[in-house]
Amino acid sequence: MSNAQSLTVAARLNRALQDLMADDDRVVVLGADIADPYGGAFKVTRGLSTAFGARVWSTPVSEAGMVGVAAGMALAGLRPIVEIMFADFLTLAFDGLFNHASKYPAMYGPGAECPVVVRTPAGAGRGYGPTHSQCPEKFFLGVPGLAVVAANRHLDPRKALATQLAGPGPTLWVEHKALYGAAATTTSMLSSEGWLCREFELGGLPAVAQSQVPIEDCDLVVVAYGETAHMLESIVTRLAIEDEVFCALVSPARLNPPDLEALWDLVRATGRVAFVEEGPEAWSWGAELAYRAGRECAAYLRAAPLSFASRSDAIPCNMWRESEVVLSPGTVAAGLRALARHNDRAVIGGH
Amino acid sequence: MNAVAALEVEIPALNANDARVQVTRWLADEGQHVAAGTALVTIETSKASIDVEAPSSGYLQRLVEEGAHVATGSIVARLHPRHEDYLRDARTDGRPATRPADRRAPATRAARELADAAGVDVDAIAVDGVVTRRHVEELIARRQECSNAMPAPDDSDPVAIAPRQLEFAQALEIAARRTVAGFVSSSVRAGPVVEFCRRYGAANRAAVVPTDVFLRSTAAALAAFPRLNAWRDGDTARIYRQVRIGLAIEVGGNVVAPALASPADLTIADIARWRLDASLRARRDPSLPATDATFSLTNLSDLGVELFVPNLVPRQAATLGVGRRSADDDPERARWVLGLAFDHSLVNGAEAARFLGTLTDLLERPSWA
Amino acid sequence: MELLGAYRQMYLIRSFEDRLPALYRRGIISGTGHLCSGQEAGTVAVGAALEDGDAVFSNHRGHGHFLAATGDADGLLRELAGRVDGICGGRGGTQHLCVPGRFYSSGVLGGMVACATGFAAGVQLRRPGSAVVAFLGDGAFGEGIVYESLNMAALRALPVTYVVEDNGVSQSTPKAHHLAGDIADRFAAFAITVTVVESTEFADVEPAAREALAAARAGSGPRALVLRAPRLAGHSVNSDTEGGERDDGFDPLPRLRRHIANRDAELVEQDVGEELDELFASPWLEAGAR
Repeated sequence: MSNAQSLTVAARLNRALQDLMADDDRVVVLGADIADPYGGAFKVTRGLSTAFGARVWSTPVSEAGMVGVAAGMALAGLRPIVEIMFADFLTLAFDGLFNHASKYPAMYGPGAECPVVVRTPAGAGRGYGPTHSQCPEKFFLGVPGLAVVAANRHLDPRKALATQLAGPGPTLWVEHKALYGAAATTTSMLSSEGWLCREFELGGLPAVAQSQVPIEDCDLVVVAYGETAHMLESIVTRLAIEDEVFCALVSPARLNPPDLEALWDLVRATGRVAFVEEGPEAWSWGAELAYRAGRECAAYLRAAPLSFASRSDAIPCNMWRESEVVLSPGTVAAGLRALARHNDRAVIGGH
Repeated sequence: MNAVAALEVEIPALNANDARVQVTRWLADEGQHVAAGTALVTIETSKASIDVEAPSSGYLQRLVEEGAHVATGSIVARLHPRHEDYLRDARTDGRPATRPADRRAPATRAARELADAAGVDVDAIAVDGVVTRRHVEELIARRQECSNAMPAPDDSDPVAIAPRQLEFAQALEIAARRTVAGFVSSSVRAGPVVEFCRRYGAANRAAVVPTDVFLRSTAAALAAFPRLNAWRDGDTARIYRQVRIGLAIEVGGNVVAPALASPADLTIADIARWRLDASLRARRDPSLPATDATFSLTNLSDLGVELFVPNLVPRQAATLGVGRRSADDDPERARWVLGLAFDHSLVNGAEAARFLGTLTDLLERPSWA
Repeated sequence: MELLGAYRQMYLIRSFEDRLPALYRRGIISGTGHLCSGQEAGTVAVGAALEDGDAVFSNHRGHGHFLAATGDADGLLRELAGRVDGICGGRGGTQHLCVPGRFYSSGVLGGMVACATGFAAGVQLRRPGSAVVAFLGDGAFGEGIVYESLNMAALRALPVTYVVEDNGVSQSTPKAHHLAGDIADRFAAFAITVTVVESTEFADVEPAAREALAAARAGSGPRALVLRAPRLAGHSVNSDTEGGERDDGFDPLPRLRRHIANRDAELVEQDVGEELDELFASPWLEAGAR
């Protein structure tokens, strides 16, 4: 079984790491508890230490240390991939990314590339509680020189990781825990399931637009990443079948690309856009993009751009109470349905 | 119809530690028929991933979504031995069915509803993505154009069609498409009922006509054959709790069919009064709302019609038409011809015939209050 | 390294640093600067022990380390002046100096200790036989990441030498108030061999530096060197913290000069003076940042 058809997202990530390490002996992997037989908390690094020996470093519990060390390894010419066991612990390594790895190429100039990839499982849905369930990637979005990437079901991680490891700067790569067990897919598999797919690039990494009718006939564009995009597949399908509300679901991998023009083209074609994320609301990824959409697509918008996110609160451990804080699919569905019917401004100018 | 019980698939307790596991991946489609032993679903414990196998064969009804966490011992699926049981269960579960096993082209609910009403095969529409109501509208418009596009010979003049008639015809078309109709016929000696009407009318100082007796007799016959006072809801027959007979009345070119409720509770005089009243109302206001009758009766015997085959009306199991064979040389030998059309999915020929036989007997020996 | 050569280097560093406050006052160099006057013995001793392929990581007080590792006074001055033709294009400035593969510095304390440790891991995998030096002060031991780095370096026997320049003060806070216990014990806690040199005599520091780097380079694990390093110039050029007394017995320059023939020393001082006069009179210096 070698095609994406039968792989989970976690298995495909594991395969990607194996391939990357086999193809390029500069690639090294470090993190706590990543060595065999344990193979990492979510088994994404299983098999690597057995295959690649000293290039796999099972470190002490030192998030700050391991990211700082990885930055030094990158300066020395290696291509380090660091696993932070839970995204909630990224904060311990914030300085290493904010003041060090992301700044080396800028401060020091050519020759000081620092393409560290920091991979980390994020997200709620398993009842792990307030400090093991968060989606903190939004706090890193504005760090100059730091690429923020979210894995999703259809992203080819081998290609994407190779792109990021080419630098020049570091990458924060979040993987939603709920994706690990989900089926990996491809745009051709999505097409055979009935989706109309269009692939384009944002920030050098693939973004996919999927819809039930051609994008130009869609009522709105809904942008989401990672597991949220997966959740939105069923919402978008139900809206189409039950309500004839047609959404173009765009799932980018790169969350903070320098250029979003390809996305704005889609937004202008439909006139409405919503951004959906699991991270906490306010000063969020969606809030920033909603502002930019308003600025870039003003003449084409039929409604103000919307942003949906979780409530800004500590995520309870109790799984049923977790849903009181974390983004609810029902709220998103209702919000998209209402947005699709919104026509509060005349569309000025043609397209 | 008795359902055969489905087999429930539960999560085994795999180790002493895990009270909860995660359903990570379904390995068979919703509605798919699986053989015993087939791997159904992958679950993940804190230690490992394992596949749960089907304990028997059957049609798979998935009860939880991928990614859900469930307690060990909980039911995650049902395996139905019969497809009809699966269909009923999956629909009443309240959860939307996921990808159906028969791989129909995806279409929106609005598209299917319009296609159904218009007699369009939604599965025959090929589009990129999902079939929408607009696609169906366009197809209907195209077909209309095609038929419009043939230049009409200029040898006819237009006249209006009564709106109710077109509507009614559309309803009949749907009924015709959905049902297979059977037809049985019998003849009844007209004499007894004619005589009864004369005597009854004199005794009660009421103008009663054979139609009134038809209504009363039909109600009595339906009481004995409730399956002819019924309709089909998908795979289920539903028997009406009340008899409401729609009587076709012609009013100025329009046919209306007001419904007489519970004729068995009425006297012939009541029925006659209702009939006159309904006619008057219909004459005054031909745009009466559509009938909610459970059975239909049309009497064309006064117009010289000998036999006619009535159309089945939606949500009715049967409908009766009355014609007349006169014998000018001997009025005593005049006979009515009863024609009963019936929905073959609810009533079979033998039962229809027995109903008609009962009705015939009642009409040849009328004795009503 | 013979003593005259060492004196020349130390004198160059001292003179270079001494000329900077005037440039700051005149606005030719903007921002702040942290002068390493007093640290020259360890700086030059470590510099003398470096081989091609070795790398040096430093902190905010890194001009001396830079000059000892690269010898590029011209490039350093251009960078300090914020010029596009500075070694970092004017974007790094005094606290963020870099010659790729050879020298990296940053003023966020502790971060470069981890970076150096990681660089050493890279060296260990790709080109064993090189050494990495990480300079840090006593103040840096307040940062947790330093201990994380020592732990990781010891576990993997990385070829890194941690050179502590203990000047007894962290900005304005005396060591007694910011450092519990003993610096050398901290290395011992991670089973890292540590050499303490109390003397600021070059002749005492130099062999310790050479031995420590050689041991690390040989792959026997990380080493530590704790040196006494008077801070003669105050915390920063803008600071109102006091500098130490020059020629108070710990200033390494006069101590080394005593071991050299006066005539030789004077010639060196004159030579260095002319070299720096010329450099500091460069027309581009007056032109300022470009």
